[in-house]
Amino acid sequence: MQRARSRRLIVSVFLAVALGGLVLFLQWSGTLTAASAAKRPHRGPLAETADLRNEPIQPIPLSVPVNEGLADLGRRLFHDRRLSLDETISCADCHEMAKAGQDGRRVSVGIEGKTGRRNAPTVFNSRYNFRQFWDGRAATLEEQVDGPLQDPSEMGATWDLVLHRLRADATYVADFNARFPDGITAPNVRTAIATFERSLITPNSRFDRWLRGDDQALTPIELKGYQLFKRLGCVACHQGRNVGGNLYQHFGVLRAPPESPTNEPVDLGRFHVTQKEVDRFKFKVPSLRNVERTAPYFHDGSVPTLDEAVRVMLEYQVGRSGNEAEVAAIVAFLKTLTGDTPDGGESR
Amino acid sequence: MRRIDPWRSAGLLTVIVATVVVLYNRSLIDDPRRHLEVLERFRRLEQTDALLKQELLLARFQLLEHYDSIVAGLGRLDADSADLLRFGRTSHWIDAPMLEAQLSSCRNAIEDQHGIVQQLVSANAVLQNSVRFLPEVITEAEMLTAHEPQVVTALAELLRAMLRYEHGRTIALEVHMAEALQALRIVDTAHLSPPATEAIDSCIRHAEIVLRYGTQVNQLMNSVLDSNTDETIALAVRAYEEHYATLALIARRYRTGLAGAALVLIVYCGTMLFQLVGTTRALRNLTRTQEERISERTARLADHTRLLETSLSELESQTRRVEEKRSELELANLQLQEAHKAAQSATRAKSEFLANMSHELRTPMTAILGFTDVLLEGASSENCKPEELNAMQTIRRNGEYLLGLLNDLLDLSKIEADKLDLEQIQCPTLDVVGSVVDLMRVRADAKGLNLVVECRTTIPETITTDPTRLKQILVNLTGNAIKFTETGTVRLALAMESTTAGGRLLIDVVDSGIGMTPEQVERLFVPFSQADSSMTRRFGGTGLGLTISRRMAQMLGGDIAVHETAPNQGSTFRLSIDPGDIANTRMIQVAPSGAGAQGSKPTKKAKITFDPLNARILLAEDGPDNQVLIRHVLKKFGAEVTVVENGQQAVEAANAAVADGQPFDLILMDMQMPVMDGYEATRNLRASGYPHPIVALTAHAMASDRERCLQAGCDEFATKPVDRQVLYSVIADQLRRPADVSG
Repeated sequence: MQRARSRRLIVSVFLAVALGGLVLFLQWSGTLTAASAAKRPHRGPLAETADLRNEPIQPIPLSVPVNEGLADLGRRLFHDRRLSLDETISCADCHEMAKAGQDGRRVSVGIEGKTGRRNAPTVFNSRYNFRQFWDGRAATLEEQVDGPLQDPSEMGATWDLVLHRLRADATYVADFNARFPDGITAPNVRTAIATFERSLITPNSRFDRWLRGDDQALTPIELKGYQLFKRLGCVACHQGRNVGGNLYQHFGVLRAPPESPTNEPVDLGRFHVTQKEVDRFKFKVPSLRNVERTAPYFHDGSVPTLDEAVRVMLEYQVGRSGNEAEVAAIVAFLKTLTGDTPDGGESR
Repeated sequence: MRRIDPWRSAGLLTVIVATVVVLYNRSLIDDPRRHLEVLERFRRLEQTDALLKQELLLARFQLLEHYDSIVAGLGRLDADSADLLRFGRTSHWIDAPMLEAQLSSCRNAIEDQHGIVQQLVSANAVLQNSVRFLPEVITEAEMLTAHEPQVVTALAELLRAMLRYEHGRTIALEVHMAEALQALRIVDTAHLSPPATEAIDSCIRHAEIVLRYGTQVNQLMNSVLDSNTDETIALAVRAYEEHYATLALIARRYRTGLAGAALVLIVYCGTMLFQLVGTTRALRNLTRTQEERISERTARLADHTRLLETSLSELESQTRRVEEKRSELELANLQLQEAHKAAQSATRAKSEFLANMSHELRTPMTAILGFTDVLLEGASSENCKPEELNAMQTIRRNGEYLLGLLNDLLDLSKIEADKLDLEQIQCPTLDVVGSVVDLMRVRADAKGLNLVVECRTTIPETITTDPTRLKQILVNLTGNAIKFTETGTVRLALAMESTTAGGRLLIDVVDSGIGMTPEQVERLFVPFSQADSSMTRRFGGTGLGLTISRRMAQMLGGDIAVHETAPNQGSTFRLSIDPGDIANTRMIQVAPSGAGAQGSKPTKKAKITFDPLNARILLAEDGPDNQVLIRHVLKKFGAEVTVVENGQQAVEAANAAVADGQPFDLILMDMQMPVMDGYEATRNLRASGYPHPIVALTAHAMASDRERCLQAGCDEFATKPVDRQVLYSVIADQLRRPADVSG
């Protein structure tokens, strides 16, 4: 008798729950369309503002979040010569950590001693460039990897070749398999290298310290250099977090650039990418961070010293032949843009 | 009760559940979370687009410090429009060409705008530089040309026109500035200083830049502000909302279907449950019936069990009674066993008594016989009278007979126990008979009877038998014949039953005595009875003789029978024995005369010579007579003798000798001694590793005694009274044997 009663109870409970569930379900399906009407307000500035001096130049963060494991894998790939056709050149050969992320040459030397036509830009702080390469043909660091890897006068390799080599290395296979479900692929190699490159920032320069409110960070001369930098119009292009790197500009606004000393065809910059007349002689404005350490200067590496580069810029871009004291002050200011060298790990 | 087909139920359930699952999956087509996300993206896109334009305006009026925010806005527009386009392409399994087209035109508009913005930024940077620098360079030029009012005026006019143009950038102002610039260009600068000329050139260049780039920036700015990005975004949003409305409609339909399917499922499950409950109830009823039946059967079973229990208890009481009987029987059995044990112990006591008596009697007999031997050894016809010599020999003979008689007594007890040991020795037939005649002649002579031996047939020279027992029988028979004969002759007649093999040797003892009636003959061989009780009074005797003799004869392979007798006619007792294997034995014949008796006279024993033993012997013997006798015998053997009185002394003496490095060559150990007997002494010595020979000496003649001695650790065994020849050979054997180190 007791058992019969408990069974009847179970049946009633089941029916109650089932019917209740059905009612709730119908209600839920009815409220869905209503929910779609609800709108979440969103408002936010395009760039975050911080408690900083209101200057055209902004400091770079003291640290950025980095996927350490992936960055380490990227570091090894960055230093791996197997990424070039004859296994003689690695990324790090033209972007040496000890040389502020570039190679100090006018133009870089690729496989078999071949030379390119442009000066290797620094890899440091490249994450803050709005596009990559002098002509900005790569939108991201990932896209950028393909350029030197496949350029016949740089590393001259193909993805098939590189992937074949990497897949023969048990350590790479294990490390990629641990991080990517599809193991060693071109996109994953790009991701790893770009992740490493994004970790290469040079924070804490004296100028950044000054921007953060440290009045003692700059000497009067350097401060005067900065004022000149702004007054003479340099800051019109070299501004923002990376002191440049966020727009294209004509090379030779006020005076046509000098003829190339060699008989090479003239580098038309972004015109080669867009074929638009407006882009003729347009180049990405380079970042001036660590500029003291990234000689020689300009897209063709034609100017070996910073003084000379400043003078050229004053003459061709802002239309002013500054006196020696002004140039010296600007150079003094530019040297305060040198930050802490990132630990890029010169392992090979 | 309706029967439920489980397969059909399961199949139906599966179909319903599958329908529910499919409908549920389809009803999720209007994923609200995703919808909200998409709407959010659109909203951000619109917002970013508006903010970007705002920032560009700020930049245009030199109110923006840097272009990072513009770059960020461009990046966000790019990312969001690309994401939305991707969503439009992979939106759902429902085609949305309209949405995709709108999204891609939106994307294209944004990309176009992107390019324009970049040019705008680039141009604006150059313009900013010149706009900022132009007042400065004009001021510088004015200072250098202060003495030239015309030039200064032109410069001031240019500055004013530029600032005005910078403020309004209208066509009129642009024309005005171009005019001011043209006025400066035509100023004559030939007479001016080179720095002034250069400054004016710079002013002109920067003014040109302002004009050129200002126009450019103006146009670019206008095209940005005129760009249809906001419109395309709005159109995309509308397309998306339409698309979503379609999705929501489809989803609602599926949900309705899902609700129906769920209801069906619930109803079905409910039906199943009710059926289950019904089945359960029926089952319960069935169970109750079964339970009732079972309890009925259980009750019946209980009755049976009770009956069985009663029977069982009866059975138990019967078993108990049987048990009682059994225990009574066991008790009786026990009593019986005790009685039997008592009887056995009585028998044992008797045997022990006999053995002890035998020992007690033997010990003095040993002395008597031994010393007679000593006397006889020293005696000779020279130093002794013949009578004395004869007397000594008679003593010796009778002593030996007495010893034999003692042995008989033992034999009787052994016969009673069927333990009589018989020897099988080859011995001269006539010597055996002769020794009996010699023995009995004294008595025959005393009664004046003739004692004659005769051979009726040829007889074997030697026979194989137990001579002691044979003599015993003949002595008994002859004694009887002499006893019951007053006058006449007692004749021992030997004959072979037949000459063939297997024939028995017959010895008739014939007398001329009182004879017997047939009744007396019947009782003759019954133990402890004589032919007539009057006989006992008249002749004495135990009545054992014939019984023992007949048993022994039977054991020797023959019998004793009364051959012929009649009252006063004499009797003939015929003894028959198995002569053994006589195939190779010479047959002899002895004339029937008294001369035969003469020939059978005991011959004097040959003097035995012994090789000297040259040994140290320890004699353990408690009897002083035997000490003297055995020491004498051993000295005769040439041995050096040390005498001790008991086992304790024997052990001490033996061990002391070993310690001195001069152990005894042999120990002669009497087994029955006070303080410590020979068995224990031997065991002690052997336990301590004593290796030298030990020879047991005992008056117990039984075979089991020998075994006991050897078990105690003795090497050999000699009986008392001492037969010197036997003793010599035993001792000599043991001395020849290398000492058994293991003991």
